[in-house]
Amino acid sequence: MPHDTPRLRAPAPSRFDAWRSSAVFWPLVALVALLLLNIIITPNFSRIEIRTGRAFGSIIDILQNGSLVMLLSIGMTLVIAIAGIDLSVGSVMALAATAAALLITGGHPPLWIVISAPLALAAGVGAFNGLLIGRLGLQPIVATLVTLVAARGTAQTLSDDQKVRFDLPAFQSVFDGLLFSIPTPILFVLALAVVVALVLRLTTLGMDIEAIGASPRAARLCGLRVELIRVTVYAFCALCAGLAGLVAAADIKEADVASCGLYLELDAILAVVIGGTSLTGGRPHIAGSLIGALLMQTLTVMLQMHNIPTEQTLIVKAAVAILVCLLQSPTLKPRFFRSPSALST
Amino acid sequence: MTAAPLLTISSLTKRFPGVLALDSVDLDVRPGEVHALMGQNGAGKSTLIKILTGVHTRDAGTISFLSRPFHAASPSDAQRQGIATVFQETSLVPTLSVAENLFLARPHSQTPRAWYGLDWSAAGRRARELLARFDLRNVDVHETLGRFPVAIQQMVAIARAIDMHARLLVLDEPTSSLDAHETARLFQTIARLKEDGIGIIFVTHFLDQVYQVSDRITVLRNGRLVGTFAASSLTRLDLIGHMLGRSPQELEASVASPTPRTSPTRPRDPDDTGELLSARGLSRRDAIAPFDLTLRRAQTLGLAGLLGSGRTEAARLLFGADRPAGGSVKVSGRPIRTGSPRAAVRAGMGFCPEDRKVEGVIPSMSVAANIALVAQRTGARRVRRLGRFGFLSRRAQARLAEELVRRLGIKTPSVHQPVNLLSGGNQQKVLLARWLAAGSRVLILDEPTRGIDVGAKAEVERLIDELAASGAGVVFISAELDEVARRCSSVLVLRDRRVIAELSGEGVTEHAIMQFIAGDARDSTAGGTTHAS
Repeated sequence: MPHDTPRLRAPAPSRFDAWRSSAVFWPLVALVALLLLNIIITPNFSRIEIRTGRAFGSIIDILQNGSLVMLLSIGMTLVIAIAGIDLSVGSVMALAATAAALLITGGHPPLWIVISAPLALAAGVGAFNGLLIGRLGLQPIVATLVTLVAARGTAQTLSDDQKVRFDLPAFQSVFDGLLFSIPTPILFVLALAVVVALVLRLTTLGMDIEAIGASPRAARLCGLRVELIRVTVYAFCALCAGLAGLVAAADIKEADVASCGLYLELDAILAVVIGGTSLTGGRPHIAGSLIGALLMQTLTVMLQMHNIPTEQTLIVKAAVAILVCLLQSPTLKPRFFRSPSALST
Repeated sequence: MTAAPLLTISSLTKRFPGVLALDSVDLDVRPGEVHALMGQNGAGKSTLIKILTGVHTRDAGTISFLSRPFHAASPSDAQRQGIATVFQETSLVPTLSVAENLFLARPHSQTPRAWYGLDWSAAGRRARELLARFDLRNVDVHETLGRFPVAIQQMVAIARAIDMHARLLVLDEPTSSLDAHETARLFQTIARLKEDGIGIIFVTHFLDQVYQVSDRITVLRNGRLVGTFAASSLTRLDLIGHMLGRSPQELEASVASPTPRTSPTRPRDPDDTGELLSARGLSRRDAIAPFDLTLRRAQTLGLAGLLGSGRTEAARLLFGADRPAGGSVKVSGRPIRTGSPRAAVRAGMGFCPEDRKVEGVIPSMSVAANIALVAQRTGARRVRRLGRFGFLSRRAQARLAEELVRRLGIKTPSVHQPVNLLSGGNQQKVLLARWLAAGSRVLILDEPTRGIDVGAKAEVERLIDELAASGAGVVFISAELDEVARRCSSVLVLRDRRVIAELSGEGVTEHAIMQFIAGDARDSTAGGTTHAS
C-alpha cells in the first residue's frame, strides 16, 4: 500500500517476544529438541571422555564432522545476505586441497606457504566470482556455476586427475590436530565465527552488507561501495571454502579431486537458509547458519547410530529442513502462532 | 457525436489507507471519442483506470458500460466484457511470436482450434489478416514479438484487443517510449478506431499530443474531478491551471502583489558568494538535453515542469545516480566525478529520489540504521566518531537517530522500528534525517512532498526552509507550482526533456512558470530568460 499509516503496537514487546521473533529462535529450538531427544533415546549420546589427550563422544563427532559445512556456511551467510549465492565452494575446496597437496609433494616449501598459497588461490577465485557478478552483471547462480566447473577442472588438470597423497606432520597437526584436547577444525569454526560475528556487529560492514542485500539501489545512492563489498564478500566466502579444503585434505592425508567437497555447497546453502538468513538478501545470521549446519549433522549422526540406511537419512533430513523453513516463513508463521513479527506482514 | 455514452462513470470513490484516491469522480466516454484523462501524479488517473480494468475494487459509485452496470473482477474479465488496456510497456509476452501473442489466453471460441490445440496455420492466416487491418502487412507473425520496436508491440496489443471485441480502449501513456514517427503512426491507428466507433481513454503527459488527438479532456486533481472540457475550447494555459489547481486569472492577480520569499538570493554575508553546486553541459541520451545549473549558498532552486519533462532526470544526473553522456559537476568549486553517488556524497551532497521506497529508505532496516547509514562514514566531524576506524557504536547510532527523530518530529514508537512500518511522510523525514545527520550541504530533493499527508508536508517544507536558512543549497522538485514559486529564489523550467527557461528573483511566479510549461511565453511579463531550444 502506498500510504501506510504507522502501526503502533500498544504493549511494548516483552523480552521473550523479541527473542522469539528473532530469526535464530526456531532453528535453535529444533536443535535443542533434537539434542534432548538424542540424550533420551540414544545411549551414551551426551558422554564425552578424554582418552590419550583427545576428547571422544557423539557431540565431538557432530562438531568435527560438521566443521566443513560450518566453515562453508560462515562465508555463504555473507554471500546470501547480499542477495547472492555461491555454488562454487565445493569445487574451490577441491582446488585448495589439490594445490596444498601438490605444494607438499612437489617441493618442500615452508609450512606457511603450503597454507597461505592455496588460501590466496581460493580467495582469488572468489574475487573473480565477485567481479563477474558485480562488474559484468552476471547472475550469481550463473557466474558461480561457471566457477564450480572451472575450479574443479583446474584442480583435475593440476593433479592429472589423480588422488595426491602427502605426508607433512606439521600440516596435519594444524588442520587435523588437537588443541586443549579439542580437534582443531572445531576451533577454526569457533574462531572464524566469533571474528566474523564481531566484525559484523562492531563495524559498519554489517550494516553495509545488510543494506546492499535489502536494497542495492538505495545502498548505492547512500554512497556505499557496493561493487567493492560484493567482491570482498565473494572472496571471503571462497577463502572459507579454501580453509575447509585444507581441513578435508588433512583429515585423509590426500587431496581427492573427484570427491573433495562434492555437493557440500548444497549443505552450506541449506544451513544458511535454515539459520534464518533470507535468500532475497538482508541481515546475515552467522549463529543461525552454524545452528543450521549442526542441526543437519546431529540428525545424520543420530540416524547413523540407530542404523538407519543412508538413503532414508537423506529423506528425513529433507523433511526436517522443510519443517524448519516453514516455521520461519513470514506467510505461514502467523497462521500457527500469534508472534509479534506477524504484524509486519 | 451525440450518441449515447459508451461508458458512464458516476460518483466513483476509492479510499486507500490514509488517502482518498478518488472522491466522487464522474466521467463519460462516447463511441468514437478520444477522451484524454489529465492530471498530476496522485491525481487519481491510474486509480480510476485500475478500477475500470478490475485491478482495484471501488468503494462507492456506479459504472455503466454499453448501458449495463459494469464490474470487472480482473483485467482479463474487463477484457472479456469489452474494456481493454494498452500500457506503455505492453502486457504481452515478448518471448512468444506475434501470432502466439495474438491468440494467447483467449476463449476457445475466439481461436482457430484443431484436435491437438491451436490450429497453427489458421492462426497464422488470421493473425496476418488482422494485422493487415492495422497496416502491419510487413510484420512476420511467426517472429518473436520482443524483436519488434515498442510501437509495433503496442499495435499488436491494440489489434489483439480489437480482435477480442473491445469497445473501449484505455491507452495509458502509450507514447512515452515512441519517437515522433511512431507516435504519428499510433495516432493514425487511433483515428481508424474512432471511425469504427471505439471509445478511447487516452492518458499522457504530452500536451501537444492531447490536443492532436483528443475530442474532450477530463482533468483530475487530488482525486477530485476538476471538469470535463471540449479540447477545442480549452487553452493550454487553462488546462495546466486546472491540473495544478490555479486559475490564470487568479495568478494574474497574484503577480501584482508578489508573495514574500522565504529564502532570499542574497548571500548571508558579503564574502560568501561561493557557488555550492554548478553543472555545465550535463546531459544524458533520451533523458535530458545538455543543461547548466548554478546553486549558491542558502539558495533554493526549483526544477519545474510536467511529468516526463526531464526534471527527475536532471536531478539524478546532478547527484550521479545516473551516468551522464557529457558535462561536468563542481561542488564548492571542486570538480567531482560524475555518475558516482559515492563521489557526490563525499563532496557533501544528499539526494531524496522520486521513488522513495525503492531507492530511498532501506525498508527492512530500522529507523536508526537508515538515519545513520551515511553519517557513520562521511558525516560531519560531530558524528564521524560513530564510524571511526569503521567501528560503530549502536548506542551512539541510536542517540543520533533519537535526536533527529525528535528534531524532525518523526512519528515512530522507537528508533529500532523497521522503517517500512512508518507512514510515507515519516519515511520521507527519515530520508531527510539521513542527510542532515551526514551534514550534507547540497540537497537534491525530488518531489519530497509527494504522497504524504498535509501535516507531514508542512513539516517537510518547513525543514527545507530551515536548511536553506542555515546556508545549505537545495534543489527542489515539486509538481505543485505554488510550492515551487513560494520556496525558490530561482527556477529552471523544463519541457520536452530540455531546460527552456531560467527565472530568478521577482520573475519567479506561478504564472510565468506555467506560461513556459504551456509553451506560449511570447507575452511573458516575467523577468526570465528564454533559452534557445
